[in-house]
Amino acid sequence: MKFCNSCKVKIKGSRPICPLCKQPVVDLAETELTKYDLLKEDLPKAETANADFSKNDIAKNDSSFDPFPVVPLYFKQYTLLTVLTVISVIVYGIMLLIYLNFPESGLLPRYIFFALLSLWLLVSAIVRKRRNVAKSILYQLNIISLLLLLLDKISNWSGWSITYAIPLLACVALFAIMIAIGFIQKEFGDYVLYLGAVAIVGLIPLLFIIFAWVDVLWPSILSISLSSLMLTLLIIFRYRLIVHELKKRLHL
Amino acid sequence: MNSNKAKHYKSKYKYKSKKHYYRVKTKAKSKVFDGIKQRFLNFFSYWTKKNLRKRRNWLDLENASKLFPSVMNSTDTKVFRFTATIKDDIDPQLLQMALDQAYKHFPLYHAVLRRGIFWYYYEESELNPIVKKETDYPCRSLFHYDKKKLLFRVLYYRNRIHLEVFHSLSDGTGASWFLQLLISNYILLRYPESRSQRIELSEEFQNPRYEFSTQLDDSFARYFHKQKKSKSITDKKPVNNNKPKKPKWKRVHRIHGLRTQDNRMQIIESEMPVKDLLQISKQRNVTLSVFLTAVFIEAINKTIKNKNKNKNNNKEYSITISVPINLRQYYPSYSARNFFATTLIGYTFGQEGKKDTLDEICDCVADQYSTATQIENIEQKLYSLAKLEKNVAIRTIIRPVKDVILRIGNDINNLNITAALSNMGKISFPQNIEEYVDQIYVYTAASRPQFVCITHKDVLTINFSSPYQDTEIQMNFLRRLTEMGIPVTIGANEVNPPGIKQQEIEHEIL
Ligand SMILES: [Zn+2]
Repeated sequence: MKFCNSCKVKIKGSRPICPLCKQPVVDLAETELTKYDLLKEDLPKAETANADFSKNDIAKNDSSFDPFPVVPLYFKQYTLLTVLTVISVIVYGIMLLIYLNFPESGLLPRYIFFALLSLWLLVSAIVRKRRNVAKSILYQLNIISLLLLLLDKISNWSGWSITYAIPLLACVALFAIMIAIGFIQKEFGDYVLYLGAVAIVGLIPLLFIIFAWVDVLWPSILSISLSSLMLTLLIIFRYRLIVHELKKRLHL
Repeated sequence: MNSNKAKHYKSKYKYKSKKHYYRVKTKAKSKVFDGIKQRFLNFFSYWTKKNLRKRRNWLDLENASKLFPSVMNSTDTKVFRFTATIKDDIDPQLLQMALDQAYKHFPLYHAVLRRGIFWYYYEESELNPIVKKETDYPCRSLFHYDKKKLLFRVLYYRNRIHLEVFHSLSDGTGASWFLQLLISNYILLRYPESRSQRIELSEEFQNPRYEFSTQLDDSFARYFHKQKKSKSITDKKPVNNNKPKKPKWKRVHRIHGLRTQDNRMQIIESEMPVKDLLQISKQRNVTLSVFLTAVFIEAINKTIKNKNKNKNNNKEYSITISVPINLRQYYPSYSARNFFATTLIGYTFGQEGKKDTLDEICDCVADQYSTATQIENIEQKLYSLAKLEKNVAIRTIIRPVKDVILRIGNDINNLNITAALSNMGKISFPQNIEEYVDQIYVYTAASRPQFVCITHKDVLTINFSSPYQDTEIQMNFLRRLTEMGIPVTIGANEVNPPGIKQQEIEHEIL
C-alpha cells in the first residue's frame, strides 16, 4: 500500500508513482496505519463506518498487491491485406507510369491491372472468410467467375468464359463444397445455405443457353443438371432445416 | 537376422491350410471395404446423422442491444466488467464448478451472436465457459463476426473474480444477477462453513429472475411495441403543454487526449465509505447520483480550465454527462437482457450571473434528474425509439449498410456528450455469503472518460475507465472527495508497462 501526499489517496500495489498525478508516492507504513486504526477502534463501532473500512484495509495490507496483472504492450502487426493492398497500388502505379511513357506496350497495363485485382480479391476473400470454408468457396466461385468474364472481355471477347470456364467452375465448386462440408463434420445448418447458393449459381448457365450466348452446350448442361440434382436433394431431405436457417438469417 | 527369418517363417505358416488362408484374406478385404464404407458414410454424415441437422434456437436482439455490435470497435469494445474481491486467493477449480452451476441457470448466457442479412441475432450454443487466469487487459473484445464465441468470460486474479460481459447480451443489472449467483456458488463451495447455517436467501434471490422465460423476456418490445397506448402503465399522455424546457446546450465540450499506446483501457478503481458520501450529499440536500454527477462535471471543468489557462475566453460552453436509467424500476421486468434508457444531464458554464460553484451545479443537475426520471418523459422517448425500430424502411436495409448508418448516427449523437457515468446502486448477497465478499467493482470499456459506481456493504466504489493516458479528470474528481475528508483508496492498471512487447495473436481484427 502506498500513499500520495498530493492527492491524499491510498494506492493499492507497489507502483512508485501515483496513477492520478504521476508524482512519486510514499510507503504507507503499517505501524502508522495500525495506530490510526487503533485510535479509530476506540470509538463506538456503530458510529464509524470509517473504522471498519480501514480495518478491512489492514487485513489486506500484508497481502497488498497490484490489483491488475502487468500486461505487456501489444504491437499491431501489419495484416496481410494491408501489405497486399500497398504492393498492388505501387505496382500498378509503376506500370501506369511505364505505359504513359511508352504507349507502344499496348494492352499490358490492362493485364497487370487484372492480375492485381484478381490477386487482391482472391486473397482478401480467402483471408476474411477463412473460418467458414463453405462461405469461402461461394465467394471464390463468384469472384473467379466475374474475373474470368472480365478477362474474356478485355482480351477481345470470344466467349470462352461463359462457354467453358464458368459452367465447369460451377461444377468444381459444387464438388469442392460437398467435400469441404464432409471434412468439417459439423452442423449442416451452418453450411446448408452456402451449398444451396453454390447450386443456384450453377443454374446460371441456363440463361446462357436460353439467350443462345453459347454454341457448345455440354458444359452448361452438365452444370445445370448437377446443380438441379443437388437442389432437389436439398429440398427433399433438408427442407425444414433450410427454412429454419432462412428465417433466422433473413428475419426483419 | 535370425529373428527376422523366424518372423517370416511364422507369417508364412500362420495359416493352417489353403482354405484357411483365403478365408482370412477375404475377411481382411471386407475389413478394408468396411473401412472405406465407414469413411464414405462419415463423409456424408451431414446427410445421415441426426445430430448434425440440429435446428438451433435463435433470438432477436432487443431494441437497446441492436446498437452495440454495430458500433463496437477495438477500443470501445462495449464490454463491461464486474469484479468481486473475496477473502482469499481464488481456487480456479472451484470457480469453474461454480460457473458451471450458474451457467445452467442463465440460458441467455449460452447465446452466441451471429450476423444475419438484416439484423444480428443470438443463437443458442453448446459451448461451455472456461475460467481463465487474468493475463490480458480489462474489457477486451468478446465478439468476433466469424467466430462462435460466448459473449461473456470469467477470469480470476489473486483474490479477484472478474465477470466480463458484452453489453449486447445484458445490461449491468442483468449481469449483476449472474455475478450474484456465481459468487454465491463459489463461496458455498470454497467455504463449507458458510453452508453450515441454513442458507438465508434474501428476497431478491427468490424472485423469478432465475426462470428461463422471464430472463429471456424482451421487455422493451413488451412495453413499447404496442399499438394501443391505453395499455401503457401511465395513462397520462406525454405532457406537451408544460413540456420541460429542453436544456439547450451551448458548444458541448468534448474530451480529447493522447490515447494509450495499444488502445487499452485506463482503469482507476477507487473505494470509499458510502456513509461519508451520503452524509455529504444529504447536507447539500441532493441524492448521491446528483452529487457525483455534479462533482464529475466540476472535475471536467477544472481540467478544461487548467488546459486553457492562457486563453481567456468567456464564451459559454456545456459539459454533458450521459446517464443510463434502469427501466426495471418503472416497468416490472426480470429480464436479464438490456432494459435501460439513457438521458443527458449537463451544465452550461460561463452563464451570466452564475459563479459555477458546486452548489449551483448540484441544483441544476438535481432539476434535470427529476425531469429526466419522470415516467412520461422516458416513455415518450422510448415509444419513438420503438417506432423507429419498426420502421419498414429501416428494417429492410441490409446489415452492412445498417452498421455504417448506426455508426455514423452514434458518432453524431456523441458530439453532444462530454462524458458518461452510471450508478449501479446497491448490490448484496445472501447473508451467509456476504461476509466472504469484500468489494465489488464495475467498469466498462469506453470511448471517453467514464465511471460506474456501485455500493456493496458500506463501501462505494467509483471506477473510472478511459481510453486516454491523461488522468487529470480522475485526479480532480478524487481530490475533490478527499478534500471533503473522505478516505479514498485507489487501484489502477498499468497502461505504459515496461519491457517487451507482445504480438497480437488471438484478437486480430482483419
Ligand atoms: Zn497523486
